[in-house]
Amino acid sequence: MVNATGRLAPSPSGRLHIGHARTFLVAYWRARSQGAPVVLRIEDLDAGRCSPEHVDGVLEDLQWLGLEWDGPWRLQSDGLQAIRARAHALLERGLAYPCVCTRKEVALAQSAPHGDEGPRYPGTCRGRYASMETARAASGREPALRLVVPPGPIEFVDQLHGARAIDVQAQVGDFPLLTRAGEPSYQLAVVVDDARDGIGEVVRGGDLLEVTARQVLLQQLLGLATPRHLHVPLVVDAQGVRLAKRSAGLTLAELRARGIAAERLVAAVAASCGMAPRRAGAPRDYVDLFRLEQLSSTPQAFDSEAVSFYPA
Amino acid sequence: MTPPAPHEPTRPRRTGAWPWLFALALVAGLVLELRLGEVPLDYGAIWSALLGESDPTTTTIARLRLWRALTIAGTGASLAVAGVLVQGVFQNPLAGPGLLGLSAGAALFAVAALIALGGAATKLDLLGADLQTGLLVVPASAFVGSMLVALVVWKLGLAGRRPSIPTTLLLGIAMNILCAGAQQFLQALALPDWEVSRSILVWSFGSFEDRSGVHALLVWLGLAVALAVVPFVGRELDLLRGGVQDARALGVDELAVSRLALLAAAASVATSTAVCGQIPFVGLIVPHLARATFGRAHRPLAFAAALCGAAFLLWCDVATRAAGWSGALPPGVLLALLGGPLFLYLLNRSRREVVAW
Repeated sequence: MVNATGRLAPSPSGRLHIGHARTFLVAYWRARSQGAPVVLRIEDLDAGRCSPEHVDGVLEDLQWLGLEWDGPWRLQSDGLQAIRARAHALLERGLAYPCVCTRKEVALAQSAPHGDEGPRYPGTCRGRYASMETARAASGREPALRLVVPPGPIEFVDQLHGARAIDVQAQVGDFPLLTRAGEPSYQLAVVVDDARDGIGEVVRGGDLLEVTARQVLLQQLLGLATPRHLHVPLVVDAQGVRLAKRSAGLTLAELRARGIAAERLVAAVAASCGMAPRRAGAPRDYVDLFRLEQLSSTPQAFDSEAVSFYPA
Repeated sequence: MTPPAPHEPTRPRRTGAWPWLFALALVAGLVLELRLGEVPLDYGAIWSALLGESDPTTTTIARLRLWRALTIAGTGASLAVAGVLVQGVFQNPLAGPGLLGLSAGAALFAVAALIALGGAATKLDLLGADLQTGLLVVPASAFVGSMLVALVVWKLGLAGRRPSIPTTLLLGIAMNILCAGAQQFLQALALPDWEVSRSILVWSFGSFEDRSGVHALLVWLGLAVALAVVPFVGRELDLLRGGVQDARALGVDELAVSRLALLAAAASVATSTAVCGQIPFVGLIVPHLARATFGRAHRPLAFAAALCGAAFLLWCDVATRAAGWSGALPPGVLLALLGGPLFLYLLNRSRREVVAW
């Protein structure tokens, strides 16, 4: 028996747009078409970008779309203690170390240009301090906690993009588990929470394909099962530009304000997943039609004009 | 009229300083478990962290070490008590939960449960998280497996007859082969799902890493069940050692006694196996150690074996950690490496007996 429990994991840093809608619909269809439950977890750990009013907005958007989830939804921040404890357990096993470097120092240590990931951490503090205490005492700073990342590629399989091998050490180096403020990194939080929720299949946006290797590594070190992965290609606008959260005109709230029925958007997304659109179709009406093989691995162009062609 | 005791050695032996030495070893083992680890913490820091008067990092680490130590102690004790009970029922000093297939039965059913849960072995070790289904399903399933094997070996090898050492041991071998084969079959079926296979493999080595309070609680529950049964079967097992006929004449219901003792052994083997994987030889070796120092009467022997088993497994773990091998040497592997030679030694010592078969 395969565990296909899926999840919807929106982060409340703004209103949801068409791209999110497509990812969440696919996640929902994928789990339900395998007869598995879907849980809703709102990933609100990034305190700088997430806010309580956005939580309400996200819930409103998901409900408007007609998505259903099993059990009560929960906030990721509710499980903060368990997530931090995992980082400390890695420290105790010698697989993590305290780091007192600032962002600036990391950037300076790295002369080569770097992408939007930020610079690769060269491992300055690795083996420097035996405990958080000594790091604090020696530097006068609150230490962060970084993972000892082994060299060499980490392998995983994506159901749409095939086998991947990513050298995490070469890409980002020893990535952080806890920030200096004690906040868990996304990688750690998502791994602990997926295990806690018993997730068997992770369906999410294609922009997260590359960082999956870091999560797979963490799962292996923590003795947790790696769920199966499905990275849904991003949605681009008519000009081929990737939808970011800020892109105006394509948020679900705006579609709703313009009187576009949710069923139209669901039908448009269903069509982009190779299903025949239906009249007045809620997400649940497409569960039986969904086939993974029909899913394209290339970016999907969408705009509000296109959406309005589909039946309501 | 007081019935004559059929065998004199059942009288408790004068144990002298041994219980204190074992108790001391247990306490020292627990203290060392709290002290040893990658993060250096002195006793004061550990103490205040356990009392909840420290920063979150130290608190987590101290608690991790405490749960780990308690899980190990409980596992060692459980397996040793199971060993005493099984050796008592089969009246065979070479019997043990491992040799009779009780551990293999528990492992087989645990693996079946793990596969049914979709590799959710990993749900077993969530730190401080909610109670998960896997936490109860896996030990419960392991208990069924362990119990089934115990019943088969007992039915075919013992019921109503004079226990024969070779027959019970051969039955144990057969059960071990059967369970191992069935487990490999299940693992072969699960092989296409690499993640499920990996979690089974990791679990089957046995592990004491990342234990939570729930793990410790489960193991200690199994141990409590086994120890609670001991007062009800201890005297009867002593009498059975003098021969089934004599024991019957003294009013011992050997069916009921064997059943109860095996149930208790199965419960303690199942919980410890479900939590830590198969840990061989503790159940075989430790009862011998305890018998050599505490005598043969089952009631004191079982409690003494619990003490010795806990101390023994703690010190095995302390030694691997002190040597820096804890990552590379899972407890199941260590005990197999350690237990094999010890078993050979035991066999060699009782060679005359073996030849007499």
